[in-house]
Amino acid sequence: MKFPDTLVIWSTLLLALLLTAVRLPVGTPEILAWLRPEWGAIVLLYWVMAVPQQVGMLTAWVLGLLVDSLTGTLLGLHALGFVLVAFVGLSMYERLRMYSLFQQALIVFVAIALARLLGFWADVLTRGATWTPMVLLPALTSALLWPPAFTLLRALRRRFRIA
Amino acid sequence: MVADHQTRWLDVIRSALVTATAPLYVVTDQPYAATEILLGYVRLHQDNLSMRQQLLTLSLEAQRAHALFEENERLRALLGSSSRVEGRVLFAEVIGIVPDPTARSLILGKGDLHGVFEGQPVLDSDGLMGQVVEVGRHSSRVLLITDPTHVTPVLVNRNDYRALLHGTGDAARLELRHVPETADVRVDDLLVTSGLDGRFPSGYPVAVVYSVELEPGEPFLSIRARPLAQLERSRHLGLVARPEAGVLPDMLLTVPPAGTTAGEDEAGP
Repeated sequence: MKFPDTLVIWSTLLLALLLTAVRLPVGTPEILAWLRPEWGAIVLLYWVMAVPQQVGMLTAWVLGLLVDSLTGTLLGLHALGFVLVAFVGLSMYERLRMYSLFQQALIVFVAIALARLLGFWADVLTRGATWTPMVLLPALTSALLWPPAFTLLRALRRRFRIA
Repeated sequence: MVADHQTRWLDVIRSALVTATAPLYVVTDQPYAATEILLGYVRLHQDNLSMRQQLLTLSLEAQRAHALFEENERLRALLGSSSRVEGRVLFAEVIGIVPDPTARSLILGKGDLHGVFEGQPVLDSDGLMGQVVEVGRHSSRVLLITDPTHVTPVLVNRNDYRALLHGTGDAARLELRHVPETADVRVDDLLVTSGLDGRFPSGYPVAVVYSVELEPGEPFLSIRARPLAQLERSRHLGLVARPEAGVLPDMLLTVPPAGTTAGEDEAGP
């Protein structure tokens, strides 16, 4: 039996949302909270790259709104960031597929860093956030996570024959 | 984003979204909830004993407090000021902690259906925790007093000096800002809610001052305080119901609006 593609894709996005909501036990060092990867953006970028005709800006926007609600950020902050990530993915998915995992991870870093900076800028305007290089740490951890995430999601895609 | 920041048009959407996303927190909180339950079984006997003792102590104190409350009401009646009506307390459980290093908020397992409303004060057994900022059907989001965007109007309990207590994003540090160097604020002073915002009931403990410094060249004192509530640990919280109508307008008539002058007002009588 073949599951509908949308169901499989949204299940992985839901899993990413769950990972976003996971918290660390009380008393863990602050730095670990900064290291949290942008799970949503990673999974989103994979699907945009693999099946750009099914996952695009709209999915990115909806997912971003859900993350906004989850983290209590300004409505649209993650949505805009994720749309940006999806845009990067959509504009170069053909090249991305040719790249090695390492090169892809580099693009993941740039895309998520852009989204983080956009979000940080909105934070500065609305909440008076102050700059710290930590803002870019999630982009780094996301890039490091890209190879395993990619392998896993590709296996999933082949298993459910999503094309 | 501008619409969300500047207006209240998106409240309905926010509320719907939080209803949809809060269950995710229930799922991710399971390991912690399970640990809590297991530890609970291990400590059951010990907890039971200490709680009995605590209950006895507290009920003795409550008897005394009741008498004092009655007396206070009579005196207030003599003075002709409005009576302080203590609101009903609704209990709620924390179902999630938002894992964002720059913001401090919690998800509670009660919402619209149970009578939670936006702006509702949230307390634990030790002090003020924060206020409800978003209400879903079965859940709500609480902004903690340590969030960098949260400001609590407080009084120094010792001399009724009014000031504004700002969150810093650091779970163990709050700051009294815009306090002139002539102000009488000392280390170990207790800060309680002033109630002048018409949102938090007055007289609840919030924080204890742990450092007062005058940095050269700065016009104001640098005052740091430690929150009293167990912001990171408490699982069962109390939400205070809306104060009875009549309390607020009366207070606003008798007290100058301190909240609007950024806490730079002179010390109380």
